[in-house]
Amino acid sequence: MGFLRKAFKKVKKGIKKVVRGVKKVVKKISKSKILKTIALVGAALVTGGAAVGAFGGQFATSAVGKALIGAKNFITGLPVVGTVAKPFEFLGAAVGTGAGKVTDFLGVTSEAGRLGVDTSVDFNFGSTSYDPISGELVGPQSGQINMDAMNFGGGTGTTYNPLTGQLETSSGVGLGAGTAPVSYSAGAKGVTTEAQRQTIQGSVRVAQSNNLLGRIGQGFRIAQDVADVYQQFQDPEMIQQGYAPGQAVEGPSVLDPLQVSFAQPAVNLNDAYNNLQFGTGDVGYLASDLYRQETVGGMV
Amino acid sequence: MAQERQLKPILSNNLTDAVEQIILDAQAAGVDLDDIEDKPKVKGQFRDSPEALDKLVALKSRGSAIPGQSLTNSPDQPYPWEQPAEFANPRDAIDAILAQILQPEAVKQIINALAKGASVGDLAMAITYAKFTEGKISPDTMLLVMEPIMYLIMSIGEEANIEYNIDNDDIDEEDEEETEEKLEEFRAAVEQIKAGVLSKEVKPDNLKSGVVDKALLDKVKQAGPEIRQSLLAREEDE
Repeated sequence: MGFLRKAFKKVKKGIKKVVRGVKKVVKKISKSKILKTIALVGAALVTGGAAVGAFGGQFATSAVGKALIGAKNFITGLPVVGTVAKPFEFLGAAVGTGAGKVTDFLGVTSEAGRLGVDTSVDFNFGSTSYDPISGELVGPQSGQINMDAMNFGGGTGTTYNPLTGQLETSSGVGLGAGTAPVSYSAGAKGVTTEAQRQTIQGSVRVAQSNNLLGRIGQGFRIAQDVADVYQQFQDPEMIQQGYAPGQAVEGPSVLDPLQVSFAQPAVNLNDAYNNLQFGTGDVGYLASDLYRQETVGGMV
Repeated sequence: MAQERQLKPILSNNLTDAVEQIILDAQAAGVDLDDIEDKPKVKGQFRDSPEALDKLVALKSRGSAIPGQSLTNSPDQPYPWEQPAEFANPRDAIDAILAQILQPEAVKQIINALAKGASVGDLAMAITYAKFTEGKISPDTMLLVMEPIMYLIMSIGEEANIEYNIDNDDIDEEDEEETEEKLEEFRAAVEQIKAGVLSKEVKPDNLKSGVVDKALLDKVKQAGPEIRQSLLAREEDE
């Protein structure tokens, strides 16, 4: 096992070197903070986006967060530890801890997202639209808010429906867990102002960032965004057809530059190359399950 | 967080190097690392445990394989590590191992061990060695995945506010290189002072007024050069 011991020593020496290097640049920061930053950045690089739940957003509700909370009693119960400190005390306000800060600047999380409102993430509306892949009209996907049937309101009473521009009596349709329904005064009837539209969007964002579907939906959303852009540039009437030599006519599918698949193609990003490389520029970085399969599809 | 610019993508075949580059780049980009929350930590210290000692004694008294014993095994029933490893790609191996480490129960065990003074290196070795004996990874892959796993365990320790050992019992260990650097600085400073003092000729007339008591200064002037002789100076032969 001597060779393994050498590996530890190498890592340990490397870490100490980084601590010294950073300390030289950032004079006022404590060594403890540097070590914490090093450990968290390293873990974030290794796990990519897979550990977001563990090291950043929604920390307290993640499986690892729960385990840490569960371990609190255990740790404080140890004879020596009990009186020394209160570890995990920060979990009460898990957002904004060191890990969150680190994953913020690594691009894994955003400060706003960790605080519950991610304004940088667009909401995931779904309505009947043209699918450039199948060439058919398709309804909202699973995990999307059904805009066709959406009625912004809660409880019973008169609420404003921004889709119809009419005041309607609604029996309440929730936008998502923990979200207060949005209702408007009669003064807004018939006109959807920019302020109202933004308020609705903001509310939906809150709902999206607060519920599981919303978070899972982010992966699909990227695919949806790509599909939207694709759709924008692909007018069904204007799809070009290439003419191969002879009389064969190539169909539009062959000319499609990119196809987006929601199914699970057998693509493994790890197969891109076998060498271990690390950093924010690595293919494997941010390659959590959320992003790995659903958004990348090869030509079928 | 007042960030001046986006961080540049970093790519390195060495995790520690990538971490260093990212932190320095973040600092240059205006990320204030001092904002990172850091609470008082629980010191991971070894604690005597009679039960653990009994277990160790029991394990050691079971004996070990006789040299050459493995050669007597049937080739049709090889050990898992004698077969091709399940993960040829270290990336797949890391993914599989990380998924296991990040299980709540495993995290709890790791925290438990760190709080009791187990070192990050030993835990990483235990995990990777177990994967090797299960036939999941080859010895080469075991070495490749060691560093990433150590970082993950360190991050768990940091999040749990534990002051952990990285290798053996090194929490209170002084950094030899840092100590050496400080000694070098001290020596250089002493040399500078020496050089500065020697270059100046110290005479009672050169001293600033008020630095030395006037009565004492007069005594020195009266005594002449003999008073400047060191008490430790070699006595002249009579």
